[in-house]
Parts: sequence; C-alpha cells; structure tokens
Amino acid sequence: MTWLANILNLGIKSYLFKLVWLGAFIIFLFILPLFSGDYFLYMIMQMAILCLLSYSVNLLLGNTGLLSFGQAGFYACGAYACGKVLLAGASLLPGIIIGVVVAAIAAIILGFFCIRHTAIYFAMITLAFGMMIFSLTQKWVDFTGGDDGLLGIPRASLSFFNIFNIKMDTIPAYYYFIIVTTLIAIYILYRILNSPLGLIFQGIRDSETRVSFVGISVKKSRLICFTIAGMYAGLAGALLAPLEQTITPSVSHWITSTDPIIATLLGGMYNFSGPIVGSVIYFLLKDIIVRLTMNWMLILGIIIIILVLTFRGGVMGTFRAYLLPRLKSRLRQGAKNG
Amino acid sequence: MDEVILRSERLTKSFGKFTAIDTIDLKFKSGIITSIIGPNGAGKTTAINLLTGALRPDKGKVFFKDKDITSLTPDQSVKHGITRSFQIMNIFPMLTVLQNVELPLLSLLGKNLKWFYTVSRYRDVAEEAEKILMELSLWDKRDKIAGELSHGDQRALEMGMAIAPKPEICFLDEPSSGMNPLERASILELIKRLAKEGSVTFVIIEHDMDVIFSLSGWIIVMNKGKVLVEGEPDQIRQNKEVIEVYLGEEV
Amino acid sequence: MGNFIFQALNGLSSAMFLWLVAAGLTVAFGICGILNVAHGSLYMMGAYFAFTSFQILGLNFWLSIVFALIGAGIIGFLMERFFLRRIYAQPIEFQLILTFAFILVFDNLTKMIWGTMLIIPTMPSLFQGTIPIVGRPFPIYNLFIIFAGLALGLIVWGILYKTWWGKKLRAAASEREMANAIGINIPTLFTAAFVFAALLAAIGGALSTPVRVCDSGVGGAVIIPAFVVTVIGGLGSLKGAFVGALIIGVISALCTLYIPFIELFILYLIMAVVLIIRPQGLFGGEV
Repeated sequence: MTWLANILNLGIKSYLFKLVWLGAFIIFLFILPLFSGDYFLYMIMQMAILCLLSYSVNLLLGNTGLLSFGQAGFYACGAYACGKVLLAGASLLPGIIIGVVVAAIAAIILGFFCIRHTAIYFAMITLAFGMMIFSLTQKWVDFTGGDDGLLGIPRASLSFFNIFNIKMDTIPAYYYFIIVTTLIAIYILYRILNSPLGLIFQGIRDSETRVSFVGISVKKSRLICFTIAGMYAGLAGALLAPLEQTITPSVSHWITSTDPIIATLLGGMYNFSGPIVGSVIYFLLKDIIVRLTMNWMLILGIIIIILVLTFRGGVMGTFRAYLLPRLKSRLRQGAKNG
Repeated sequence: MDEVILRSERLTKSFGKFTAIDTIDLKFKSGIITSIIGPNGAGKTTAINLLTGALRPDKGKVFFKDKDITSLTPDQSVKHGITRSFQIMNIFPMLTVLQNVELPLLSLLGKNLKWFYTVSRYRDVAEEAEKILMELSLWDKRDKIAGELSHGDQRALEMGMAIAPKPEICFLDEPSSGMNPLERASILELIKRLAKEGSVTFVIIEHDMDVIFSLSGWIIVMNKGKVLVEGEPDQIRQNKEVIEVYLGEEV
Repeated sequence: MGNFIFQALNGLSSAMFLWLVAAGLTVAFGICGILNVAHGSLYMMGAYFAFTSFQILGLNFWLSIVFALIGAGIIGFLMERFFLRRIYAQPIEFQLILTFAFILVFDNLTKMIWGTMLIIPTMPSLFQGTIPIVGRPFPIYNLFIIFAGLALGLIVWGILYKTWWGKKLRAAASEREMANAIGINIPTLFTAAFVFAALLAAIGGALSTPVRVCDSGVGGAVIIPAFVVTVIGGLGSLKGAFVGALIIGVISALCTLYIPFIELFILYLIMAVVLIIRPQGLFGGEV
C-alpha cells in the first residue's frame, strides 16, 4: 500500500489522483451499456438530468449564496420548448439548443427582477415566478396541452444536415448522447468557475460590498450567474423531453425545484463534485427506500433534517473534513510500518 | 499638478434627525497628500462614503474633474479612478491573497467576462498582481487564505486592493490602525513612494498625528459634520480652534 | 351585482382561514426570524386533530378545537425547541430547507396515522343551515367564520399589543440584545412565540373542517397562498397578514366567478409584482 500512501502524501499527485478517479468514472459510464439492461441506463440518464439541475441550483446557492425555489421554471422552459420543436419535426440538436436558448431568455428577463433581492426575498420571488410558469403550463392549454401536457414527443435523431444521422430510438443510443452532453456541460461549468468570472462569483459570496468597491458591478455579475444557472436548468429540461417523450406541468412545480436542492445538500454544496455525488446518492437512496417502505418521504425528511443540523457540507464536505485526513494518516502510518 | 481633482458642493447627509454632514465644500488637489482629521463622529467616514458612491447625499453634488459623479455606484466610481480602503477591514477573507488582488485587476484590465481560461492564464493580470504583491511584501504569502494573515498584513492587502485599479485618487480610511510601529513605517513608506511617483493622489483619514504631519501636504479638519479649518500642516498645528477640539491630544 | 356581493362574502370567509395561517407565519417570522415553510402542515394537523376528535371520538365541536390546539401546540413546541432553535444562527437557506423537510415528515406521518382518510366536511348541528343574503342562501357557518376571524384578529392583536407577555415578545423581536440585557429569557420566549404561531394555524385548520376537504397533501398546498398573503401584507406584520388575506381571499373568489382559469396565475403575479415594487409589502418594515 506504500504506493498509495506516497500518492496521497504528495500534494501535486493528488491532482493526478483526482484525474484517475475521473477517468475511471468516465470509462465506467461508457462501457456500461455493454453489460447492463435498459432500466439501469434509464436511471443513469435521470441521474444525469438531475445532476444538471443540481448544478443549476448549486451555482446560485454555493457561489452567490442564494437559494432559488424556481429553477423548475427554467427546467420547464427547456422541456416544453424542446418538446414543441421536436413535435414540429426538427432533429435533436436544434431541439436541445432552442430549449437552452428559451430558458436563457427567460432567465435574463426574470433575473433582472430577481437579482435585486437577497436571501428570503430572492427565495420568494423565484418561488413566485416558478409558480407563475406552473400556472401557465397548466392553463395555456392550446400551447402546452394543459394538464395532459405534451404527448408523443419523438426521440428525434441526431443529425447534421446530410453529414450524419444517428437514430436515438434505442435507450443506449440516447444514453450516450445524454452522457456526452452532460459531461461537456459539467466541464464547461468547471472552466467557468475557475475563470475570472468564477472568481467574481466567489468574491460575491465572500463579501458582496467589497466586490463593488473593486470596480465590479454586482448586479451584472449576479445576472450572468442567474442566466447561466437558468441555462443549465433549461438544458436538463431539454434532455428530458425526448427521454420521457411526455412533458406535464409538474416539471415546473416548486416541489420539483426541491429535488435538486436536496441532491445538492446531500452531495455537498461547497464542492464542485457535490451535485454529481448528490444526484447519484439521492437516486439510489430513493430507489432503495421505495422498495423497502412506502414512507420514503418521511425517511427523506429525516435525512434532510440530520444533514441540515449536523452535516451541512454534505457527503463531500464531510469526506473532505473528516474522512480524507484520517485516510491519509492511516495510509501514511501503513507506509511507515510497512 | 495642483489642480482640483475632486470636489464636493454643498454636500449634506442626514440619518433620521442626525445631520452627519452639513453642507460641506471639499476640495482635493492632485499630487498632494491630503489628510482629513477630526474627533470621532465628525463625519469623516461618512464624507468618504458620499464621495465614493457608497452613500447618496441628501443634497449637494460631487464633481470629479468637472464631471458630476454624485449618482454613480461604487463600481462606477472605481472605473472613473476613485478608490478607497476601509476602516473596518474589508478584504475577501476566504480567498487567497493572490485572488484578493486579482479581483480589482480584472475590472481594470477588462477581464471580468472571461469564462474559459484560469485567471493566471491572463499574463497582464498575473504580472500586475505580482508587482503589487511585491511592493507590499506579500508575494511569498500569495497562496495563504487572506483571513489568516496577521492584522498588519491584512491592512497592507487592503491598501493593495485600493491601489490595484490604478486610481487617480485613493481614499485611505485609517490605513495604519492596529499596526505595530514596523508595519506602520513600511505602509507610510509605500504611500510616500506612490505619491511621489505621481500616479495616485492620496486622501487619508487618520488619528495618529505623527503619521499625519509626516505625510500630509494639506490637512482638512472636520468637526460635527462641518469643515472647521483647512490648510498646510504648520498652520493647522498652531491653530487654536483645532487644539481646542482635540483637547488632550498631542499635536 | 348580487353575484358580486355574494361571491365577495364567500371570499371574505375563506380569507379567514388564509389569515390564520398567514398570521402564524408572520408571527414566526417577525418574532423568531423563521420563515416556516411547514406552517401549512400545522394547519393540516389542526384540521386532522379536530376532525378526529369531532367525527371519530364524537366530541363537541368546541372541544375538538381545543384538542387541535393542544396537538398542534405540542408539535410546534417540539419543532422549535429541538430543531429550529439549532439553526437560528445559520444562513436562511438552511432554515428554508429544514422547514421544507418538516413538510415531508408531517405529510407522511399524517398518511401513516390517518391513512388515506380524507376529511370530509361535516357541519356541526349548531351551524347548519343558511341565511338569505342578497336573496341567495349563504351558509351560516361562513358567516360565523367571518366573525370568528375578526374576533380572533382582535384577540391576537390584544395579546400582542396589550399584554405584558406580548410586549415582551415584541421587544425581544426588535431588540434582541437589549431584551437579553434586561433579563428577558429569549429562548423560552421564542419557543412560546412559535407555539403561538402554530396555534393560530391550527385554529384555522380546525375551523376549516366543516367546509373543506382535507388530505395529507394540504400542508404543501396551503402554504403557497399563505406566502402570497404574507408578502403582500409584509413579513412580520400582523395587520398586513389580515389585510393581505382579505385582499387575496376576495380577489380569489371573484376570479373564480369571472375569470376562473387564470386565478392562480393572478395570485402569483400579484406576489411577484409586490416583491418587485415594494418587497416589504403594505405594512412591513425595512427589507
């Protein structure tokens, strides 16, 4: 085990260590369809969508300290827009792109009003806007299909003029599309958070007043953050439409906004990998609990209460703070003795 | 040199029934280190807040080189070349020292919307940051978390953030408070050097008379929201009213 | 015109339920600083306790209300004393998430204890019947609710503004350190305030059983209109909650009559507009 201890010892090597984990994870995702059934792939796709939604929430919560109860609204914008476009006969890419663009536009417009507020009032105004979108999806029957929603959305093929045309009807095919899209999206977010823009977001979270005194407009930066978050929620929704092939108003209800919040809390809102970890755990947890008992809401509620009261950093936070140092010292001990 | 770079006209600000600033006309000449002194509650910090966009005045205007900047927000003021440091420390406690200095530079060098490459990729930002941190002797501490620095280092960093955007006029609110004599001396050296290079006009609020008289070319004395008297250090030192106001203080 | 008045009165009576939940919500926020997303669930508990004692145990209507108060009071006490107290110092996001978790817990517990039993409106014999208003039969109970709501409003106002306890409460809310300094026991006071807020919601729930269907999902449903009301009236303002409830109750009822399909949309639109132009609501303090 000395080689493991040596790796953990050197600071530089921990970067490689993380890269190895990441590589293994991606390889695992890619070879999964070879030996797993459709149901499992379907679950992973849902995890990926929840993951994007969680990143949307986490961007606002972990980086600018604002809890939004309305991300479901942008999720719905992406889903309905993509759904309508696909129903009109377009291929997959235009559907996804238009879904994201519609969500972005909605985010810019609504964001203009939302970002003036902080804390409680931000939560409430995002709730209000989210529910307005909910009533629209329910009542604007001509456009959204009302309570029945959009039905029979085709899982359009991924085509680019006449250059290629990949059919997405099978689960594995669409699975690859979602995985690749999600990974690219997460990578982009990673770059953003480590860029000057990301530094500004961190500054806002750290000390908002100081940020304007270094010459940066807090409002503008917040709006950008809000729009990016809206786009990620929209992407999640756009990916959902061809997957489920049905979109109903429940995607915009504020209760839907709570799934990514819980996933983020579970995984850890102060770590970049929190949303991924959180989404996976949340799904697995839900799956397991539902098989054992009908009372999964109760168990989920209790878990959240425990998390909020004690493990506020979620799984990743607790891991970093408690387990990792212990693991490192154990292995270092092993290296000394062995 | 010697032209009025920033001035206020009949500036007034009240908080409820309390008039903090009462119709004052301030003038700051470029190239001269001006100090604002006065007992606690005289309105010095409020004046700076009004001049830098942190507060809106009830009445009156502020002019920067003949441009009306009364209604500008703080970030707009910074872009015009007006910066400040804070009396109650206002660095970014959870970011590293380097990141603290990078933030004002992003705005200066127009890099706030860059989203793909890491900050260090931008050479102009990296070089400027290094230069500033070297000046403040904080370069070897650049990866430390700012909140963990010693008080003197934090104050130095605070000042670094104020001068990073290459301002024309920089307000320092009690820059040497809480520092030991060594730290105080090095900060004073820095201020003197930067002022001599002609790049920044400093306006300093201070209580330490040694600092004031060794640095200032012009002193404004405030009391109860009004300007009591202003003039060159020697004049102020001998002014009877000032001595009265500072009863017990060594002048 | 007759329709208008009739419907407006209907709105007035349903506003009273809204007012009671919103009052509790606003008291909890104004005094303890907690925005209790689960307050609707306390309303629901009140309804279930009352219904159980009235319908199943055959108790007197008034006694069943007392039962509801006791039950909700205990729950409110447990909530505050053992859970909410621990996060007063935390950023508000955690409060919201924690109280949301309580909705899950309460809804599920309700399902576990009462099964999928619905609360079916059963009118106590005292209030059966109608009174003609503008020539149409108006339920006596609805009239009773309007008066009960007003009476409760006066009582609550009296408690908070005229009694020694109420003054202590308001002092603790606005000047925590000062209150501490003069010996007021803040933690106990906050617990009491929260229980008070819970009781208000519970009365609302209990009084609603004769006229409204209730199931285990009501908690999450009632809280949204309550939020709208509190925002309009101003978070922390009792007067605001009352006025807000009246406005929303009447507008809701009129919308149901004239433009039923966008009733909810209008509600949320009003909430959003108020948050944009005047976030502190009609009577709230500084944002």
